[in-house]
Amino acid sequence: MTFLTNLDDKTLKDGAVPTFALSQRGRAGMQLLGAVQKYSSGVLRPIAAENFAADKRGKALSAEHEAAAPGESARDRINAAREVCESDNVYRLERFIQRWVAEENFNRGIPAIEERREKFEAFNAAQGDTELLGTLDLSAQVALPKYYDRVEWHLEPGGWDGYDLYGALFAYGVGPYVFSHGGYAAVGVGDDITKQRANTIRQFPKESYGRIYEPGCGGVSTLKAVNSVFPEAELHGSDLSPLLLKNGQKMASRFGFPVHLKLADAAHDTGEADESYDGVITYALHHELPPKANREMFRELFRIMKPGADIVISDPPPFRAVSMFHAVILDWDTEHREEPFFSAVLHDSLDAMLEEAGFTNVESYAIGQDQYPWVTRAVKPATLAAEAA
Amino acid sequence: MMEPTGTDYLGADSVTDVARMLMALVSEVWIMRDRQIVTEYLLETKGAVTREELDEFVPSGDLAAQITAERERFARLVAGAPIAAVRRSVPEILERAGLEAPEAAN
Ligand SMILES: C[S@@+](CC[C@H](N)C(=O)[O-])C[C@H]1O[C@@H](n2cnc3c(N)ncnc32)[C@H](O)[C@@H]1O
Repeated sequence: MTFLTNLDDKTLKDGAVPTFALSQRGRAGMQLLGAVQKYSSGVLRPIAAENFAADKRGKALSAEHEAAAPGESARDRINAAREVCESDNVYRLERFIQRWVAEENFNRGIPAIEERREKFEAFNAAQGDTELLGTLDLSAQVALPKYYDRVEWHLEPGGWDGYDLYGALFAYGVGPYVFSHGGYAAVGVGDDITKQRANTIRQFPKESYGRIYEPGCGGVSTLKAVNSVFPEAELHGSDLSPLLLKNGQKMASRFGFPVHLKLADAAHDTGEADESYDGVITYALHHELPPKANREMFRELFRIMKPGADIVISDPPPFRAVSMFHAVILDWDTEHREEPFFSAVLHDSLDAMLEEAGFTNVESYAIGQDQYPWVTRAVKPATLAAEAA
Repeated sequence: MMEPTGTDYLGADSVTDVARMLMALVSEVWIMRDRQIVTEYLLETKGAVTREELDEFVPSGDLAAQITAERERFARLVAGAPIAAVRRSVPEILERAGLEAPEAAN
C-alpha cells in the first residue's frame, strides 16, 4: 500500500493553497489507529518473533527455511510456521490489531473525510486556480482485467474507485496519521515510505534520464520521488484507475511538476511507442497482479524501452529472502488484507520473469530493514550482440 | 464455585468481535481525551473557546508532541494490557506508564 504520507508543505509550489485538515474528531480517531498499529508492530510483533524463535518447531522450521535452495517452494513450510505462530496469543493479538486497523482505515476514515466534504470541495476548487501541468489521457477503451475488477484492495470498500473522496482520505487521513508510522504489510515499523521511494529511485544507475515511465503510477507518489531525484526527466505514467490518475495530475501540478498520464492496462497495451523510454520504474505494483499478467507486463515494458534503458522495481521481498517468521507475516496479507496475488508473487521470482522477457544484468537486493524496500533492477540489452554475449 | 449465570449468549467464537467492540470504545475515549487536552490548551492560551474552534484546531509544535506522547502511552496501556499480565518488573511497569525507572527501582 503506497500513498503520500505527509504533505510536506515546504515542497509545495509558491502560492499553493494551504493544506486541508480533518476535524478534531476525525484527526484524533485516525491518529489512534496509527498509535495502536505502531505499538502492535513495534512491540507486540517482536515479542511474537521471540516466542517463535524460542519454540522447538519454530527453530526447526527456521533452519529449514534458511537452508532451502533458492526458489524451492516454501508453501508447506509457511503453513507449518503459521500454526506455530497461531499457538501464541501475542501473535494473535498482533494480527487482530493489524486487521482491525485495516478495517478502521475505512470504517472510521470514510466518515472522517465525508463530514469535511464541503470544506474539501472548497479547498479543491481553490486549487482549481492552480494551472494543471502535463497531460491526462483517459480516452482509451480499457477493459478492466478480471483479476482487478471487484477486488476490494486492502479492504477498501468498492476498490480503488469505490468512493470519490478516497484520494483525500489517503492524503489527509490514512497517509499522514496511520501509514506514516510504517509497520504494515512489507513496510518496516518506523519506516517512512516517502523516503523509501526516493531511496529506490536512487538505484537507477545513470546520472540522468530523458524519459521515464511508470506503469501503475496511481496517485503519482512515486513519480514525485522520481522528479526529486531526476528533475530533468520527462515523466509518464499509466493506471487502470481514472480517479487515481485525475488526483495524480492535480497533485503533481500542485507540487509544480508536469506528468503525462494515460489510462491503460500496462500488462496488455501501454499505448506507448516502441523503444521510447530511457527508464522504467515500478513501485508496489507486481504483488497486485497474478504472475501471468506480470510476465505479460514485462514483455510490454521491454518493447517500449530503448536499447540500454534501465528498469528499477520495488515490491515486497520474495519469501526466500526473509526470515521464516517474517514470511508468515507477509503471507498473512493475502487472506486478511485483500491482496489476492501477494503470496503467489512472493513465491515466484521477478528476476526470472525479467530474464524471460529478455532483460540482462538482473539483480535484486534489499535497501532497508526486514528486506524492504526490496529492489530488482535490470537492463534492456544495448545491442543484439550484447544480448547474444 | 459460582453457578453459571445462564445462556452463554455470545460464545467463544465471538471473542474477536468483543475485541472489536472494545476497540471502538477505546477510540471514542481517546477522541474525548484528545479534545480535553485541546480544550485545556485553548482555555489556557486564549481564555475562552468555542465548539467550532475545537473542531477546527490542528495541534502543532510542542502541543502536538505532548499529545503524541500521551496517545502512545494510551495505546501502550490498552493494546499492551495482556503483556502487562506477564511482564511485571518495576522497570517494565514504569516504562509502560511512560516514566523512567529511577536507579533505585532497578
Ligand atoms: C499499490 S498501487 C501503487 C501506486 C504507485 N505505484 C505508487 O507507488 O504509489 C498499485 C497501482 O497499480 C495499478 N494497476 C494494477 N494493475 C494494473 C495494470 N494492469 N495496468 C496499470 N495499472 C495497474 C492500480 O490501479 C494501483 O493504482
